[in-house]
Amino acid sequence: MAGRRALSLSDKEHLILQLLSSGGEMYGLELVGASRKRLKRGTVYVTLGRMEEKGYISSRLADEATPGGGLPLRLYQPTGLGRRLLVLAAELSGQLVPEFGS
Amino acid sequence: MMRPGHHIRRWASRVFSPQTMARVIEPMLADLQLEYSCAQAAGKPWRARWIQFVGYATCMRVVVLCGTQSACSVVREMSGDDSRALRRMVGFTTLFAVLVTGFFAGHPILRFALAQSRDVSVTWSDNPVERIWLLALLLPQAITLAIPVALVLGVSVTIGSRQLSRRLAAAVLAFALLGSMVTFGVMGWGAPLANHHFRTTLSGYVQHKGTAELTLGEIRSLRSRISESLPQSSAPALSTIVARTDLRYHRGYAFPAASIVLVLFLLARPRNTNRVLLASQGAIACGIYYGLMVAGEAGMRSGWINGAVGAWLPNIVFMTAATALALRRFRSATPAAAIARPN
Repeated sequence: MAGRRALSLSDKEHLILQLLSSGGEMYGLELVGASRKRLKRGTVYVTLGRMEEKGYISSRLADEATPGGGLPLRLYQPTGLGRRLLVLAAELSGQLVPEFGS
Repeated sequence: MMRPGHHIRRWASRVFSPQTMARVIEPMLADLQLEYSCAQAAGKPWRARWIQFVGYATCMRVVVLCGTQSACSVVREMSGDDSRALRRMVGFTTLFAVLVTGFFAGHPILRFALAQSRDVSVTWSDNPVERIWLLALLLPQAITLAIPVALVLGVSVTIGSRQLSRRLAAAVLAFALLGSMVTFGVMGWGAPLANHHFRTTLSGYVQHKGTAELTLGEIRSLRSRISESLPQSSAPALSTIVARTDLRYHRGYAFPAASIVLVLFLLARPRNTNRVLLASQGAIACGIYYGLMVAGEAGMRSGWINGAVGAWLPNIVFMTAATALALRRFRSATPAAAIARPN
């Protein structure tokens, strides 16, 4: 089936979607900080790049200039597909383990 | 003032696609620069340095991850047949590398044990931990020799019998390039340091470094010191010392290139389905390469050629042969040649 592939959501991707859905737009290091060490600096950017490729999140360059004149920050937010996947994952985990379902 | 990550960004832009730069490398560097400038602005220079150090470690990790992903995507995009051939080639080369390293590392141990059994003045450590350490110190030297040999045998046995697609040829050459880079590092720095440690451990006191125990950087500075201190019209014996140092220095670059040169030669060679014949041809190519190394050294000693030509002689010969074979194959494959050829 050309152009169609199975959607998959790893633990890290799930966590990133949760953080972005609850905390709004964030950049890479903010996500690492908010994850309480569950995300690592070395892997978060690769995971974010992969999620963007899959269409789970979208990104934009920050409008305001970075202090010190560095490169502009890249801010991430979940897409509609990402949000639907998050809801689906929550429903599925609720079905598999009813006592933890919402 | 240059911001942290400036050079990494410039280098990465040459290696990675614009998409990877925009999605992975630049966001990482932007966050690093923000964190760094915040620490600087807060008057915490040590914190800023620590952030820079951690940031560079992160960069390395990300670059390795991106590189691995790129390599995997190249392999994924290959046809099933090519991908299988590549996996087989990597597997056989690794197996040969282990066997040949074992042979080259075991050989001096065996010689030492035989010498010890004949001569009581030769002593070998009684401590088993020290024996393992001594054996480990022989590995870098053995790996240096094993990589080109293993690559030649691995490529001969697995790839030599088939027509290569461009993608597979590029992957094989990239693998050979990796072998060359590892050999360069081990031969230039790992093996000389290990050789010196080996002799020091065996004798029990710190020994002066011999010429085989000098790193590439040390040989370079020795070479320039000798050239500066000796006038051009010096005695023949002294000019031999200069040529010998030259040979050692250039061999530090020429021998690591053997992996890629020999693989190029194998890829240019006519295809054959007999694997035993292919492996034998590979082994003979290694033997000829070694013979040319010895001939280059002999030519340098007798003053016919200088150290640089002596060191690069095997590579020059094999590259010439590879070019001639490739041209011959190219001519025989063109339709014009097929028409001109009678029957």
